[in-house]
Amino acid sequence: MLRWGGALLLACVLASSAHAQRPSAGTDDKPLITPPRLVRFVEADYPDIEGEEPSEVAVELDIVVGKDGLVTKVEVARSGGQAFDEAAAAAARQFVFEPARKDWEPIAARVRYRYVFELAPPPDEITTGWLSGTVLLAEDDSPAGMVLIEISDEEGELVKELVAGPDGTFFATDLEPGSYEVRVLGGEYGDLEASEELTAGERTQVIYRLGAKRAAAYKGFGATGVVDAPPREVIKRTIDREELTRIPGTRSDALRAVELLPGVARPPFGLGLLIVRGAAPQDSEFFIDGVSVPLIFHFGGLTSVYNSFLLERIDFFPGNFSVRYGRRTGGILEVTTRDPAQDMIHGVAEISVIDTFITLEGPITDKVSISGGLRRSLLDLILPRVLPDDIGVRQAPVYVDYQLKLNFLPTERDRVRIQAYGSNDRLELLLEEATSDDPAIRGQTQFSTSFYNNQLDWKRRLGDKAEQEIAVNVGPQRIDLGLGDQFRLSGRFVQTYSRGEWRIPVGDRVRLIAGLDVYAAPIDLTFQGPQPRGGEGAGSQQGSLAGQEQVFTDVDTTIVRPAIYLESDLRLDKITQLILGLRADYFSEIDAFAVNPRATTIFSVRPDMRVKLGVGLFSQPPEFQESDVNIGNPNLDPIQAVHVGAGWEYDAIPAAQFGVEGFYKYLWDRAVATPNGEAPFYVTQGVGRIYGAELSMRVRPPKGGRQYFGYLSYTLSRSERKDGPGEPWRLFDFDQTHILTAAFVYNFKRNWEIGGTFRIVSGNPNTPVIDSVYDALNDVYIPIDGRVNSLRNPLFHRLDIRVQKKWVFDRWALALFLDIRNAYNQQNQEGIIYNYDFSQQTPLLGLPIIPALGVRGEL
Amino acid sequence: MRAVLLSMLWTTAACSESFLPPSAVVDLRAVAARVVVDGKPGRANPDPEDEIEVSWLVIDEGRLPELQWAFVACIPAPTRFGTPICQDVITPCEGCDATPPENPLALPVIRFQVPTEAELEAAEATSVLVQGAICANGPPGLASIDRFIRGETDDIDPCEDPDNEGRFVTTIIPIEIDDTDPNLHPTIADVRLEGAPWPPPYDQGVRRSAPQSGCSAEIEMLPESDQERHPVAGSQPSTIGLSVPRESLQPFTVAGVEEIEEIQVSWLADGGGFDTSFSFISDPDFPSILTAWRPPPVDALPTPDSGGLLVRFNFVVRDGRGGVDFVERGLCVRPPNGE
Repeated sequence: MLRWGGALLLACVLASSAHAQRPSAGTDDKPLITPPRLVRFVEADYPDIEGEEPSEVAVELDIVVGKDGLVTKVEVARSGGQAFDEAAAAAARQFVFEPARKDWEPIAARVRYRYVFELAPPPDEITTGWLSGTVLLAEDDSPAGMVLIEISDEEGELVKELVAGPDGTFFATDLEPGSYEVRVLGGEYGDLEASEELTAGERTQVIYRLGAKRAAAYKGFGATGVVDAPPREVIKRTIDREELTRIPGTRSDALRAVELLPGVARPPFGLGLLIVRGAAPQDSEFFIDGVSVPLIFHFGGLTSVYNSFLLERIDFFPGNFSVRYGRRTGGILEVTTRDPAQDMIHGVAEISVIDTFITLEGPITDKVSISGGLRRSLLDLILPRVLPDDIGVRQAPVYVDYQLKLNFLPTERDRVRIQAYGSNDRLELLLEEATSDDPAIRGQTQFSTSFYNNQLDWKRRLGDKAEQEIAVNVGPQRIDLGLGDQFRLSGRFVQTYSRGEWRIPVGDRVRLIAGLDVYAAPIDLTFQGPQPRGGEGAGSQQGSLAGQEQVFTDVDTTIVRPAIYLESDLRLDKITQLILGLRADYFSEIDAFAVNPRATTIFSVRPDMRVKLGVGLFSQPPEFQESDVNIGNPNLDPIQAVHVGAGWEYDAIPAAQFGVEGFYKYLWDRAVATPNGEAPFYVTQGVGRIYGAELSMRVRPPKGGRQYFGYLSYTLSRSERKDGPGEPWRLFDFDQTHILTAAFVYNFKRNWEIGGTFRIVSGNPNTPVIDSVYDALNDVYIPIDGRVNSLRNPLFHRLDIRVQKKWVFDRWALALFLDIRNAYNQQNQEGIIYNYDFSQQTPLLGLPIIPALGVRGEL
Repeated sequence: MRAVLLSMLWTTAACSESFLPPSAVVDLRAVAARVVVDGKPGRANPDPEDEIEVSWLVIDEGRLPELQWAFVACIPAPTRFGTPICQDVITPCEGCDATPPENPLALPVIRFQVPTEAELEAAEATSVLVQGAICANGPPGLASIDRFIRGETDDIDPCEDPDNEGRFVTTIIPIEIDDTDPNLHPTIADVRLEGAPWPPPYDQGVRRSAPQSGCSAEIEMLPESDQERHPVAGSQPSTIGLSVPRESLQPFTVAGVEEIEEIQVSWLADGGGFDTSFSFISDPDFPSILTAWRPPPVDALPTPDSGGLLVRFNFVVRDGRGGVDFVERGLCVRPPNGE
């Protein structure tokens, strides 16, 4: 009788992020590295050899473990003979590891493994057999718990009765060889009967699944994302794939989950504005796989434009982000899409009262896989029936988005991803009469936006250590916005975005990242309407469009914004990591350069505790309307900001992570509108200051799994602006002193999932209208604003609930879900509405209770 | 763009609110300003150096109180949004100071000379501006008007006595840009009730001193057919038609593009309610517009024995370029069943 023996010999951990590296003396030198851990061992077959079988043979293997924990390469480091080498290597290729981690990021790594073949002495003769196994629930493969198991012989006589353990396992010994009838009493899941044949001296292993006609084979998605996200920021917050679509109040929309993270303010009405650490929405940017996208939500927040079931994860950098990102002074939201499944065809189809979508993915060959998705709104079936008769619906609101992605692995060193994705929103209303308050609001109201990104991403390993990544995107974009005769914006763009990045390890302690990215956009745009005011701090903006001087601009130009960046990642000693970066940008629209140095230090005080410090400069070009020659000032400077941040992370217990972060930001050269829109319309005289602290806690099952997860975050902050020399400091438009968010989702038995999200947030500031002036030429009233943002809306609070029931069948699953926003119908105030002459006011209330029922099938 | 999106949002949200519309006259309101150019009859927009008279139509619920006013005529600063700002004051300006009018029932009227073309060009101005305040039963607050004109927003009240009703008013008077084809005031050709001429006795306007209640006595002297044309409280809506001459929709050129004026009609009444506050006449071939007006309900009548409720109507038409015309009409809303 043969038996195997093995011993894991972690000789060295050689690599950091995506770079195989040479061995070093030992792991003690690299305390930030967590080595891979073997979670699935595969026994090798004892090879057939000629002659006497040795009692023990050892083969030492060098195994390269990818970031996904799978074995990518096996080499024999010390041979035990060709037959044993081949057998050991074949088994090792099937191992599965918990991947190595560098500062919590999965990384590729190489381990030395000693595989031992032992020839065990033959055992004494055994005359009985064993029956062991596990009882699971078919719907989700979770343990059935302490169920009763009856084992009867061929005559039907009960020979053994036992109870499975809490984990569903059971073990019956000393059974005579022969046939047995096994009956599992599953209570509400029904009974299960099976026939088993036992042999003397052998153990028969079984798995019983209660509650299904056949064994449940559904396992969910098997795809694995392979994306580099260097942990270079003081704070990076990540929402994992398992949680993206399960957070209450998001209607399974992953991007909405970002609003739960610390430092993210609540946008009014659930509009899809990203308000990060007191920065204006236009100061932050969305990326999909490294490419900037003009909008991330349909119709200002209804649903995100990229299907959440095709996402791998979302990384959110609230500040002090890497030099890889630029042109923004707020935060960065990077959406990483999932690589298509390589094991088999998968798909999801969903329909709800809002929209319907389908996704499909699967392998084409062993090197090519593909995925795609399509979504369309259903609002156009509902809205025309609920709108008043005097609002003619020419084009009911319709949104469509699509995703198509192809993964190609031409060689072991190359990975090519080609994807096309886009979005189209369209709405047209015809107001037959002017609104009762404003003679200007009538006629055709049109809202139409679209973008179509086409992206190529090629990643190649250069030698053993270096890596390069080239990404190119070309995407036509279009926007048409109109409001009667008073406002019209029509733009056509072709956004081209390209990035080249090289990651080169220099010795054991230094890694260099060099890159360049170029944003270029031919723009053909016409604008007719009132003079645009400041993007922020513009007061109540309650006046009628009638009576405002019409301005016009026709832009036909090309904006080019090239940038280069260099970053070094230095490990100074066993606890200190220093990241230095430098980025240089050029903004053609204002003919200005910006150079931004940034530095981050990470102290790994203990294996479970990290302290991070960061400081850096950030630059941002003015908005289009601010720098346009006709309605803005092309002589503006870039907006500048300095970010200072400090963070502390503590993995207190396996089930919970805690974090505390403090931040301070100072802004200068902000473009602010001149009083009453006098030429030159904008000047760079604005400054700002933002400071605060964030507390966060994240809970998950200590041993992994999907049973529950939760977030708790609290942000205390203050964001102020000053619009010129001698002006007083005022509150930022979306300053929210307190933001408390708690979200928890629990997966009960039988695949019932219930979760809730609760938010308490300070009300947004608002600007009171203190009087008005009658404009006799246009027959409207011009409001007279009080001090900007001198009032604040009442405290906002809301509870969102999500309930989902999932049925898991043989090869597919069906889910029915109910997502209720504002479950107790709190009437939160979002602003103030005034009457036509501003002499009366009433609160402008936020969204009422919104239940959304949907059904989803998953293949 | 943000302002437009917010406007759309606010407008949508405001649909369900119960504010009174602008057509409902419940307090002191200035609702139009009309320019008369000396020696150029019908002209809406003056040329540089023209002598002009500017008068305001002021209305209130019921009887109009005695008014006082103060104005500043000026060349405006080249601003693009918000309340217009004075750059250079125009003097002299007859009637601008806060001297109480000799006739206590007078409406605000001022006279001044438009600056020269050179002065306007130097200030990059294409219009002149009149700003000030109109107050009921007392003088305007000169100090707060001064603060308002300077753009300050603290402690502003149009009237010296804060208990008096008052309104800040700004009037932009465009300078004529095409002296060969000047902009003329539109005119209201006819106003009809239920398709027929407006019934007497308020078919040419309403006496300023006419009380709001007790109008039944005035219509009792009319033939029964005319009496019955005055609506009963709480009855079905009446149709009001307004027409302008075809010539009121003047063609004009903007940036080389031929346009035709669109006439904006503002419907105003101090009783009952209109379906809409604003209507538009856009087709010169059909230069008229209809609207529905609901008589006030029975409980809006003062008392059963007060003898009806006099409702004052004011209809204002604008051409969007400075031209304006207005008329006043009245109806006596009778109690039901001859009460």
